[in-house]
Amino acid sequence: MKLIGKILEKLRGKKSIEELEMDLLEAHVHPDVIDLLKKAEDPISFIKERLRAAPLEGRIIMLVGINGSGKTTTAVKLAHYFINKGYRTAIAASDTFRAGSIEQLEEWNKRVPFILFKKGYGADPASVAYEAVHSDAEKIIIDTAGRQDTRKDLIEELKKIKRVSGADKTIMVVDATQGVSVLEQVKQFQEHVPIDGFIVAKYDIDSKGGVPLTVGVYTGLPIFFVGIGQNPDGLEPFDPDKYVKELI
Amino acid sequence: MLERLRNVFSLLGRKGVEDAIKELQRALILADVDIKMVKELTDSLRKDIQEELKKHPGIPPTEIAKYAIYNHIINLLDVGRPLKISPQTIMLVGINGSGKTTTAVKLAFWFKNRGIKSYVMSLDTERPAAKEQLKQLAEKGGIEYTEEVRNDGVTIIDTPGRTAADEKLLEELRHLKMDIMPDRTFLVIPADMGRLAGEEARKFQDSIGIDGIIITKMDGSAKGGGALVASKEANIPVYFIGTGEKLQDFEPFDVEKYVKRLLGVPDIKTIQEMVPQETKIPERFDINTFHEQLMQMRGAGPLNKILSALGMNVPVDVLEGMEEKMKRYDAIYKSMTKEERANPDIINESRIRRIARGSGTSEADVRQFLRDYKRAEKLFKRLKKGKIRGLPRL
Repeated sequence: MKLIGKILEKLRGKKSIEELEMDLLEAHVHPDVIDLLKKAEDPISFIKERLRAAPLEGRIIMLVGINGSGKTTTAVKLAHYFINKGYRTAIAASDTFRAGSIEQLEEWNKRVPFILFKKGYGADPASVAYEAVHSDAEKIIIDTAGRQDTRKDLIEELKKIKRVSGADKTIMVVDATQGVSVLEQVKQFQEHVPIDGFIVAKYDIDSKGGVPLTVGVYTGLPIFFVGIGQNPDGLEPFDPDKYVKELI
Repeated sequence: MLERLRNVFSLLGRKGVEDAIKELQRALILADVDIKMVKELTDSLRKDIQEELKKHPGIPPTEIAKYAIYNHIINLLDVGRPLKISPQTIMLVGINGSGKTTTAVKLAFWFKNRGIKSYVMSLDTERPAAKEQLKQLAEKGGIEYTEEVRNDGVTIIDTPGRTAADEKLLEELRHLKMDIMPDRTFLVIPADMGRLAGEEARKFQDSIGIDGIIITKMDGSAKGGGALVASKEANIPVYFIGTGEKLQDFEPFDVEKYVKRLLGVPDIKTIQEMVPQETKIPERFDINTFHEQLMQMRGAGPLNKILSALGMNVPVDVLEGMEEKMKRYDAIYKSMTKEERANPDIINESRIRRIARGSGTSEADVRQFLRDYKRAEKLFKRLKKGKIRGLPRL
């Protein structure tokens, strides 16, 4: 966190948050977050306090997010990460809706040795998760179907999966290339399934965008990882210092 | 975007032009329109309003402002172009997760519904099970999967997800394009993409050549400001927008329709398009017709689409209530006798009681059903005279 401090310290002399506003808007940081920064007594420590990384703990990890944000790829990356750490790791294919989602995991499974729990399309996503949870796996990753934030009925379904699986961590996978609408999506999801933090996928494509700052500062929840590329090993801890440096 | 744009007009009435412009700025920023472009737009808007005011001193400033705002936004987003309905080969490119595969099938389905044989084909050898996904979706839409470009119809080609950031991979895509020689190459951009949309469009244009843009996921809360403005800047037309999960949730981009929807102006054109094409105005209107219409509306997709086309912005809660209501109405309908359906006037109190019991609803529900029916009947009479003003309130 030292670096953030230094950078912002430097900026403090020359630029106030008001003056930074254009830069932040250009990076598509949500105006609500800029308003929060303006109101904060000390915007610098406010960012430091709220934009943070954290290690991912817990046995049962459920991934949620909108369509195409990168959930399935992230699930495989997480599995790879845990397997490397020596955990017996399972993925529950609870996306029983999107065409090809199960085959996608089966293909990955040829390269990454996770235990795959699946039931076929149209099956109850919660029951797939249930089976995985009651296996002897030490880490379980639940991959859910993507849904638009306007489809309240579908988000509601996630609640059931969460309840049945007893997920320790619910992580929203957000897409680094998104614009300010990411905040609306986060709010909608959070209203129905409380989330514990984020993984920012496609971070290699846009590491200068406003998504991490927007979701991190607004919610104060940690960013566990950022996703880099399409390979199973493309998962890195989030580095707030580096990010803020590139952003401003 | 832009439920907020509606605020713009109401602010205009209450607080005047400058406040309305500020609100417009915020609305555009929230719609992912690039900040520089927002500034340009509002500067030129202010100038325009002043000039118009000088020219027409008699017209109230709010009216002039309204007109100017509407025109400026139309002008900013006027990027739509219709696609020729004829046999051709179309290649889809774009970033991972933008919705290329779903769009490939939607586009094929769109052609198929217009009487053209259509095929889909996958060149995505990277994403695990990409071909499988395409095949499964194609089967749902009754579309044939092909391993090579066909000459007897439309072939839509799906490609691996690529971002403009990786020049090497883009170069591969360019070679793929040279091998296939498609008639058109469309870039698929999700509605929620932010500042990157412009960069993607430009780089794809420079390296492989893009003939058009398709914007996906317009059914979320993001309304494609990033993508629309990207297309404007790169001067690449938008051909289609994806508006839902179903294959038929796909339509040509029509700027006036879009802006009217944003600004909350009822749009009769959309409603007419949503009614299935084989529907004719029936000769007679009874409960059977009423029920049929209700069920068709349900089939036309989530109610919120119809309502938003009507310029109504209904909270999701209310919508869910409506879906529930539709189910109840269906049950009520099924509990009626043939005679009652054809002659609703004979439904008296004791019949209402029986219907409520039979359908597992309350008498109040049945009465409400009958009231809604009456309203729909009235509307039907107006429709027959060619004067539709709005659907019945449910």
